[in-house]
Amino acid sequence: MKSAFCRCHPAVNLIFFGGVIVFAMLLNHPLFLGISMLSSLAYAVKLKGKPMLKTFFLFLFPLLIGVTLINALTAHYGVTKLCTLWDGNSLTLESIVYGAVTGALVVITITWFMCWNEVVTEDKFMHLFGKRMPHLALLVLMVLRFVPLYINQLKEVMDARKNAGLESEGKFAKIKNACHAVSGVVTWALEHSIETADSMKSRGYGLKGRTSYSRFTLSPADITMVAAMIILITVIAAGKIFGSINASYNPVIRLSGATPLLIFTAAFYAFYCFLPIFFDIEEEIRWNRLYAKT
Amino acid sequence: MEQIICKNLSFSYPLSDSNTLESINFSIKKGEFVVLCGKSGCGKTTLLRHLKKELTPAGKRSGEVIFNGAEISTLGDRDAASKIGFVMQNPESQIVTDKVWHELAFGLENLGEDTASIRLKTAEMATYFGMQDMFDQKISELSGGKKQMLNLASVMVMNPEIIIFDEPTSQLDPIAAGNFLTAVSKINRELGITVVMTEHRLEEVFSCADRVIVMDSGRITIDCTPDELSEKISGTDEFVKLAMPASIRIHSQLSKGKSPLTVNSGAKWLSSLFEEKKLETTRIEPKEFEIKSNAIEIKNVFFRYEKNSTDIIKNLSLDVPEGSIFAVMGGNAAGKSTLLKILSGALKPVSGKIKIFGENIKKSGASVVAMPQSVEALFTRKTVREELAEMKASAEKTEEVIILTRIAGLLDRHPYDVSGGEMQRVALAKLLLKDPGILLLDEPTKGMDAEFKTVFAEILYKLKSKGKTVVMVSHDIEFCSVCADFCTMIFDGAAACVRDSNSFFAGNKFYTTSANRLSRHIFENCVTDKDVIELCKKNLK
Amino acid sequence: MNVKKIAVISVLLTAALIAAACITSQFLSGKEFYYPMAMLIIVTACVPFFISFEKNRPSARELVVLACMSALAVASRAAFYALPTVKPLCAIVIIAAVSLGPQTGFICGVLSMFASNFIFGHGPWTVFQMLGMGAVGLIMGLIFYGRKIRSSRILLAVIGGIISFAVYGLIVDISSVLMMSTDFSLSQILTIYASGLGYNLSHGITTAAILLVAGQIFIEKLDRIKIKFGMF
Repeated sequence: MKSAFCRCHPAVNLIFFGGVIVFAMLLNHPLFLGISMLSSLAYAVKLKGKPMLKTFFLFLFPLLIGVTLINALTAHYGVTKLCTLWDGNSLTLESIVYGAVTGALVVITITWFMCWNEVVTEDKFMHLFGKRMPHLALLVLMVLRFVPLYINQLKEVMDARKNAGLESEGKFAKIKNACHAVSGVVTWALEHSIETADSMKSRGYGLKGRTSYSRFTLSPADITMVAAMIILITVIAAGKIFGSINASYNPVIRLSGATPLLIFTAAFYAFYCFLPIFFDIEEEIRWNRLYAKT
Repeated sequence: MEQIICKNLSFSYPLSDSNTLESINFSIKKGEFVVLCGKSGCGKTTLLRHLKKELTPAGKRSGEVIFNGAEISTLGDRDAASKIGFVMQNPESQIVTDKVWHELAFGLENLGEDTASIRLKTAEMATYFGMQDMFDQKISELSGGKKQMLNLASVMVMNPEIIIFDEPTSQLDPIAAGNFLTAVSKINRELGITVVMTEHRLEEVFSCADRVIVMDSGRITIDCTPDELSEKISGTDEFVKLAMPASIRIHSQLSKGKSPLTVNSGAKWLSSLFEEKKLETTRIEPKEFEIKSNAIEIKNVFFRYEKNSTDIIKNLSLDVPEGSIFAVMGGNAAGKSTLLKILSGALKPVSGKIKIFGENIKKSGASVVAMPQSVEALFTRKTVREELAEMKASAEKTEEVIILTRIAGLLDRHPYDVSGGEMQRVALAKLLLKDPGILLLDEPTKGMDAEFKTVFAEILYKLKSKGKTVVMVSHDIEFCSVCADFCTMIFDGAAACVRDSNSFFAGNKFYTTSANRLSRHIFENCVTDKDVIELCKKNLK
Repeated sequence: MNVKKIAVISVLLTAALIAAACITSQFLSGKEFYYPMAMLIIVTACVPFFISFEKNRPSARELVVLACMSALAVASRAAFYALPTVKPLCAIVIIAAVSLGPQTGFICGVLSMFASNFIFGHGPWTVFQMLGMGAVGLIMGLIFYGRKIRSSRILLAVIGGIISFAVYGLIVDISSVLMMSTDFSLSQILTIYASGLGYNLSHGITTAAILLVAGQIFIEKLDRIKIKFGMF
């Protein structure tokens, strides 16, 4: 396991990721964006290791810059004019800042989704949605079963054709050969699907009241996590509703100042965003203590 | 108690004027192990499908199928699904979901069971079948044998009273097939589950079956115990004889009455036959094969898949004489298939030399073709005719190959509509159109019944007589013993030895044919039924 | 239920939600609500199709063929991973729609996008891609399914290419606009759309090319299975 948070019940994961992503979109105060970005990157690095740093510098950071540039060059609101552009429009401080904020939001959302992809596996997803839609859930499972099968069969067909002396030289001939191979795989897939359907029917598929089995159960730790997240979400939402965290960038940059309420909410927000990391640390400490005793 | 009764069952498919099943009558008692055999296309599968409500084919049907006292079509859907299990031929395509635990739960989900009871039942089944270790695994990572075992377990988890098997081991290697049949006979013995099975490999099922039913063109011709069948075997069709275990095959040629069913009792019978008799000839001379030149020369070849992985092929040297049928045997993962891939040029050895007809392997491209293990991979067109046309061979050549492989009647059929054995021959035809000097075959007899195997062997003989070299990788000891000129065993990435097939099998103690195991205490070098019968006749005169 | 009815319900529902969103946005400050709201609207647009699919309790054969087509679509996207503009996925969804019907086409599109993102990574764009591909399947199915023009190679390729360019591109780029734009001025929206134009265009062209070359062969194969199955 890359993270103890992966072991949590899917509902815990769903609430957490739903929370961070929605909050990231709603709380566009720089302090809160900073917290979310820092925590998402930290957790992504924990989950994916060093390659994540590469992703950040080669993809995410340029993306941030790109979004900022598009905004700065195409939007012309704002009162603080910096200079005049070649098309006669003016470059404003507000459009640059708002662009950067939006870019940060894009990066944050993508990073949290990267974490989501590591934590919420197919099984977890199926647990969350399978109960309501058992047939669609089964359909997704079948697709996930078939895909590696077909890719493997394509390899087999290509090999078989090569060994039968059917591979010819030249780019066009190669493409043609690949097309025939794909066509062979399609036939193979469709023909074999008949047997799969028979196997499903013979095991009672189509009876009324199909259920969807999953192996996840709520543990005390999960319940604690849910309770903690609900309290944190309530406090942060209250902070937002009562106006402690406001930020607007158009036409003038107006940010809520560092009031006690803002600092208070920000602390809660930070705790929420770093929750999986805290959870991991707690697990580590407990493990070390157990290990030290024996 | 009679669990299934078939009364006067006749059936014909739509658009067909002849009956596929013709007044079938039989009954099966609870807890029986019944083996159903017959030529391919004799209606076995159609009959089996009539015993499973959901799979009953559409068509004209008369007569009755009674399950537990009631007509099977009146059986409730829920009971029909859970009480009668059905396991099919292809392990891969029966699987529905992507994980082992989910596949086990699939049937129970359909029945609408709640989470707690599914948890209990899947756990119980996984433990019974020893699947705890693979419970979390992705199914795509399992071997064919494991997959078929999973199919059995996911039927068993629904608590059936009877399980129907349609050639369940035909796609498995002998070791996996043996394990599977052991598991089937275990659930039959320990849990009293009725088993109805069609099977090519009668050798292994014969000793655990209670009854054998033989079908021929839609009718039941024999319905008796294995013991009784062994008595009347000489009066039956050729295909029944071919499908019998070696002890029965040999016995039926030499004397009348009850045959021994196993190798052990066969050996005892053979001893009693020659008690206090002086034996004149006790040795069969191996077939002579004159080696002119070598088609393939492999010298000190090493191969591994990745730079830092262990060697799959280690210092392997092997010469394959031109014009011979050369069998490469060995256990799973011994490197047999890898060797074939190296010979076909699909993989390149890390070091060592391979010469094909004296030339370096790269230059000889067209003269080597390989038949894959699942021949379906070779088919991409709509009809067999188009498949052959794809090879761009001359009309005469095509005609010649069609006659050689006996596929003239199949030309306008879709390649997926022909039977397994026919598919194999179509694939072979396709390859022969390249006019290769060397033919590589990977498990060619997989899924073939005994009769198809003899036809296939004849085709190989004809190829040999034309000077072609055939290299086959196979688990099929009986087939190799009949067909091959030379055999070798690959173990741990190297060839153990190369001998002519008689001395090869006679030299092995376990990895050898039944005929050899049952006669080795009296005769030397006897490998096939023919050898044993020949020597017996000589000595009995 | 008739697929046209479902489509109408879905469109009405979406329109109602968009209207509601416009009204509420008067009271909410800023654009930060737009993206979550758009996601909500898109999911709602799919719901009528999902419910009707579940209610109809598809037979094993329908389910397997649908899974098979979607898996082929996903596998094709994975196979051409290195060439991002060559996405046979769209062509396969169109073929499924044309020969199995608009509703199947919709589910196939939604499902293949959803499942393939288990390989390529889910993001906020997943829902947009799902709806976009589903809409392509739905529209192509409504135009071609069960009609004579189905066997016209050129029409299939041309209309398929246009729909995949226009409909899929339009819907997916909404995601980029909502994500990146700050003032939703026309110039900004056009800039963002223009940046995706090249990609969308090549996507449409490759889809048309694949349909032209392989469309009818593929449809024939499906027809054969339909006959063998005795379905639809």
